[in-house]
Amino acid sequence: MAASAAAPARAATRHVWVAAVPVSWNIVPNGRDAIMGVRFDPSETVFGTVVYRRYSRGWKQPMRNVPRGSGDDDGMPGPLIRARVGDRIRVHFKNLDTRFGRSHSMHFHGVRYKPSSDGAYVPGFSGGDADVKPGKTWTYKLTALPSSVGAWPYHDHSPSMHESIDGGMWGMLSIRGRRERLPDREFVVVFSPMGRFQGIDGRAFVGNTPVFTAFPGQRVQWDVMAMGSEHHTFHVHGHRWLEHGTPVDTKTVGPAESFRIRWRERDPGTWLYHCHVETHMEQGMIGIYRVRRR
Amino acid sequence: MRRALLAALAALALVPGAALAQGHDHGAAAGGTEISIGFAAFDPPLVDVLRGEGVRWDNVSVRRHDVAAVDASFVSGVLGAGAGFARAFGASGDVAYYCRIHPFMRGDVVVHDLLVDAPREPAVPGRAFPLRGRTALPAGTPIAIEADEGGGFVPVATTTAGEDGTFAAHLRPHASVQLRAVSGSEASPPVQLLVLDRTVTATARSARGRSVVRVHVTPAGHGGMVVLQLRLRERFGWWPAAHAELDHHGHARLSLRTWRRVRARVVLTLADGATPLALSGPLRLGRG
Repeated sequence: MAASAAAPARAATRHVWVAAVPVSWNIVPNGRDAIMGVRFDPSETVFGTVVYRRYSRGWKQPMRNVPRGSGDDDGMPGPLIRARVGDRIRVHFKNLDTRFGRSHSMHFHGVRYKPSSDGAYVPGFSGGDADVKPGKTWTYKLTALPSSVGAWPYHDHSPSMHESIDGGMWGMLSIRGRRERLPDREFVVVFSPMGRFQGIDGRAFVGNTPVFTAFPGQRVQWDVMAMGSEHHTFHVHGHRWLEHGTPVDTKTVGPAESFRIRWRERDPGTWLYHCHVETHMEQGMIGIYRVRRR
Repeated sequence: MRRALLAALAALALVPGAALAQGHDHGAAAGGTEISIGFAAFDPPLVDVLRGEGVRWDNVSVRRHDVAAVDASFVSGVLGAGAGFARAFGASGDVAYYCRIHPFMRGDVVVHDLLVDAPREPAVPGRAFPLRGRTALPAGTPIAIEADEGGGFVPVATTTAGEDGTFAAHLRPHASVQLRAVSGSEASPPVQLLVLDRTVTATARSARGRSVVRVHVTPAGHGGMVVLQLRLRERFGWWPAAHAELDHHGHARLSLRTWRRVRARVVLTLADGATPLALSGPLRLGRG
C-alpha cells in the first residue's frame, strides 16, 4: 500500500452544484453479456429515471460527474464530491425532475452536519432539506472531520427514496486527510441492483460497466459502496491490498457501507473487477480494469 | 396489404407491464392533465384521462369563468384570472362540462380504463417498436392490442397490466396503423403509429484529434435521435459515444475527440437513444 503525503492545506469552503435530472438510461448499451454470449434488446434494458448531475455555479451548465479518465460520465454515480479534512462543503441542490414530478433530496454519510442538512424525510420533523420539490433548491452544509477520512455514500432520502435509489440516485464523497495528495486515478464502484440485473455504476456486464484505466506507477484509489438490500464482495484480479496489515484481494460491502482502497499500480494487463457473489456476477456485476504501459 | 400487415404484427413480442421493476418510462405528466381556460374557450376542449387521475383547469384569461358539469355532478365556483380548479374522475365515461358564465364555452373529459401512449416518433418497417400504455385495471389483467389499417380493428397481440399500472408490447409494423388497447368491454382511444422507411447518411471528417460527423436522415421532419457508435475492443462491441437530436430538416452534427483510428456508424433511434430504427453505412474516424 502506498502512502502519499503532501504539505497540509488550509481548510477551504468547497461549493458543489448538483441537480436531479431526468434521463433515459440503458443498463446494457452494447446490448450483450460478452462473456456468456447473451444478447439483450433495448426493450429489456432501457428505462427512464432520475440521476444526480454536477453543474457549474448557479446550475448554468452540466459538468462531468467524475474526473476524466476515472470512469464513464453518464449520471450514475452522481458527482464525486472531494474534500479535505477541515473543509466546509456546500452542496447546492436543485430538483429538475420534471418527468415524474417527485420530491428529492441528498443525504450524506461520513461528514458532520446539522439536522437541516440531513436530507432525510421524517413527517412532522424534517424540513425543506428532505423534501425538495420540483423546481426548488436547498443548500446542504457539511463539514469534513478527521473521522471523515475515506469514501462515503450519499443518496436520495426524500419521500421518493425507494424509487430513486432503485433508479440510481446515489454517489460518493471522497474525503482525504490534511496531508494526503489526490490519487492519480480515482474509481467509483457502486454495487446496486438494476431491475433484473446486478449493476456496477448502473451498468451490467463487461464493456458496459466502467472500463477503468491506469498506467504503471500511478497511485490509484477505489471508492467502493453498495446500495440496495444485498451484500457484495469487491474483488480485483491480480492485485492485493492490506486490511489491518493482512494482504487481501476481496472485501465485503453491505447496504450503504463503503470503503476506499489505495495502491501504487505496477501490474500491466487487462484485469477483471467484480462482485464475487456468483449470482451477482452472472447478472452483470463485472467489469474490466486496464493497466497500460505508457 | 392488410394480410401482410397482420402477418408482420403477428410477430409481436409480449412484454409484461414492467420489464424492469421500476417501470419509470411512461405515465401521465406530473400533476395530471391540465386544461387552460382562455378568453372564450377551453384548451384543449377534449382530454382523455385514466380513471382515478386528476384534471386541472387554470384560468389564463383576464375574465372570470367557472367549470360546471352538464350533469351537475360538480361545479368549480367562480374562477378569477389566475385561479384554478382540480378534480379527479372515479368512473369511466364522457363527462361534458361548460362555463356557466359563458355557456358557449364547452369541453369534454373522457375517462378511460386504458390509454395507449401516443408514439412520439415514426416506426421503421420491420423493426421492433415499443408500444406502451397505462391502465386503471388491476395488475395481471389481460390486455389485447388491436390494429386497424382501414378495415377495422383486429387483435394482434396480448399483454398484461403491470403492478405499476402500465403495459407494454413490441410491434414490428410494416405500414402505418391505428392501434388501441382492449380489455373486456373497455377500449382505449386509438393512436396513430406512423411507419416510415428512413435512410441515414453520414460523413466524417477528422483533424487534430477531433472528428466531426454530419448526419442527414430522409425523409426529414419527423424528429428523432441519432447516436454515434464506435466499435471498441474494450467495450466488446458498438458503444454509444455521442448523440444529437435531428433538426426539422433531418440534419444533425456530432463531434467527439478521437485519439486513434476507429470504426464508427450512426444509428437513428427512438427518443430513448437506444431502440434502433435505421443504420448509416460504415465510417472511419481518427487519423489514418
